[in-house]
Amino acid sequence: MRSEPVTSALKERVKWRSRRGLLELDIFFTRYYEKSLDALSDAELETLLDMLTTDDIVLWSWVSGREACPVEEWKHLIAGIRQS
Amino acid sequence: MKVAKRTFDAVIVGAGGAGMRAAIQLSEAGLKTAVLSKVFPTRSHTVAAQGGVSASLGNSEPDHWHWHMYDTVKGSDWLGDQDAIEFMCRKAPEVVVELEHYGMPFDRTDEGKIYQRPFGGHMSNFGDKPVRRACAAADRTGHAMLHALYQRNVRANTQFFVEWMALDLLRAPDGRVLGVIAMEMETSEIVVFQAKATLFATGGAGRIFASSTNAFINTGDGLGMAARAGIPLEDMEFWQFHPTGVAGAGVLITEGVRGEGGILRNASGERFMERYAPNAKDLASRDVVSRAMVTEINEGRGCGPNKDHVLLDITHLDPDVINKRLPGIREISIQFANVDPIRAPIPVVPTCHYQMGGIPTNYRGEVVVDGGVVPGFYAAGECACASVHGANRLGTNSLLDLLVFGKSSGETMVDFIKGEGAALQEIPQDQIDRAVARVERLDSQKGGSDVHDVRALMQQTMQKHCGVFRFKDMLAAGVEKILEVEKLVQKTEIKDKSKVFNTARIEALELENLIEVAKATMISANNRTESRGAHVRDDAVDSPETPDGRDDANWLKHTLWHRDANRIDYKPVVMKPLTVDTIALKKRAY
Repeated sequence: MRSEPVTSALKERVKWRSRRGLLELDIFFTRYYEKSLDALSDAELETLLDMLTTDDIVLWSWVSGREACPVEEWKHLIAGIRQS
Repeated sequence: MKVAKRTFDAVIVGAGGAGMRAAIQLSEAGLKTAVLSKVFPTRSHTVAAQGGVSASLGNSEPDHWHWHMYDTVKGSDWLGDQDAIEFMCRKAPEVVVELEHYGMPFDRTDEGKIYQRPFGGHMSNFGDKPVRRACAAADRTGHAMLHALYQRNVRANTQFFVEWMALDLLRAPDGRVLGVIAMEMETSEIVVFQAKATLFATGGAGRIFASSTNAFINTGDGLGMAARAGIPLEDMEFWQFHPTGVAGAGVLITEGVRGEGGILRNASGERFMERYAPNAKDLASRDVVSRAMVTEINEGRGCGPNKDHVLLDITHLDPDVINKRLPGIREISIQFANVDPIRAPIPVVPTCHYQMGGIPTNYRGEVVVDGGVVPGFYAAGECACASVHGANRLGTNSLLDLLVFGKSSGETMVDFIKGEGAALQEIPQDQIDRAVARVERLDSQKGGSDVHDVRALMQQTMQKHCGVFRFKDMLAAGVEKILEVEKLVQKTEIKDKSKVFNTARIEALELENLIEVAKATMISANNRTESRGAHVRDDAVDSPETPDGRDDANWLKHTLWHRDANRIDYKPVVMKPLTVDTIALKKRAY
């Protein structure tokens, strides 16, 4: 049986808020967290939480590359998600 | 256990289109209304609806609600209740115009009217030829709808409880519904939401299947809660497989692509839908297209090295049309299929998309059990079964369903709350204890099963035993297997017992809802020995009396699955519309 790592409350909050209305985003976030969640600092997690208040359609336009993310401090997160 | 209690006139579980449309009705009537949602309202799965909402506005060409009704009854393979279908199609123009007044930015014609496009199964003049009936806001209709409805609710002072998960329905000994018990995700605090009227608008449970277009939040929470509270689930064998999920990913390519001229092709490049539906071709009803695709694949005409998909071709369309009318499609195709659809066709397979069955209601949104309404309990949207979609839903009728029945259930609740007999009642302690015990069991379980493993096993079992084509032996074995999976669900264990945003606990609770839907689906499908709409059995005989395996003499009836002992019974289909003549049974062909 697999054991779940005990994660911080901040990580848990980020994980839940990455449950989206669009399957496209669910898939991207799941891949991203499998690779990168443990490497994110608390500051990055806070930035991610801010970014997750964005509407799904807008978030998807960034993740899909249709539009460039206009917020400077979110750009590297979007880039990481796109590469996952 | 003593838990805190909050009291409202109405409590709504789910803040997608149906829940928010109902909430407007209640809040604008001055009633104290709470809406609980696992996620922020505008992140509900309604956001994924791209194609549009149907209404016989007749803005582009002549149209009539009666034609829309005919198409819906035919689409449902005559399993839809004709009173509810007439109600929905007649109300469609009204609710769409209302939404326009809420600020919905519909696409416009040059004259400034709402632009309408054709959509699968929607025809003029009782099945004659495709008609432009779908009203859309580019490819973001659901998104725009959620925003319009949310803003209106903010104005009406609806109280949203965001990141709350409802755990169970609360009922009095006489069956009346008294509210819900729910958990705040941030703290894991459990609170009773007591109300005079309770609406479930919790959406579908497409995550019971391994290959699904549904977002991860679609775990059938309302259906699980209803089943545990003794409410049967109706017609759960009927699941729509969307013809065009991106092969391998499940991500949806909207039917609007075919509305704009997209063509399905097999390995030899043939437009095979011409053989299956000579008139409607690629715009035939979803189940017809899905079945045709699976037949092509099963008979060796699939594409790719494994011959396991077909191709959706839009390379002949003007790139400007693709970019303007179908912009999101290009990104989805590039990201999930590695194909630019302007240059090459998109690999697609039928993928689980929509749940036609659900909590049994009438067209007023009242939950109906044994021929009578359950006082204080209502359901609307995908979690409900009114039944307007019957054995198969037409595209764009889902957004219409949630607007029409969101509104009608809201209206019925207002009447009930303001009328006689709606009083707050004492909530029996055993009702509260039952929900609390489920959470406590999770926290104390030792040596149990892993939530992710069990969920995957359930999804694979459903996919293998209860997919697009169904086989007698596979279904019978599937029933045994899903009951085995249920035993594992009852023993899930979580390692993380923390209180703050414990996603492991939430996912374990979601799985307890999913398994109820999975059992209902498998057992209902095993029992229905005909083919109808989306439920297609290999052993259903095609004869003059049973065209395409549809057996009206024995199976023109709704399934009701009861959680208690997995009992199945049936109730008649409502064949009599409200004001017009019955749309008589005939073979469904496009």
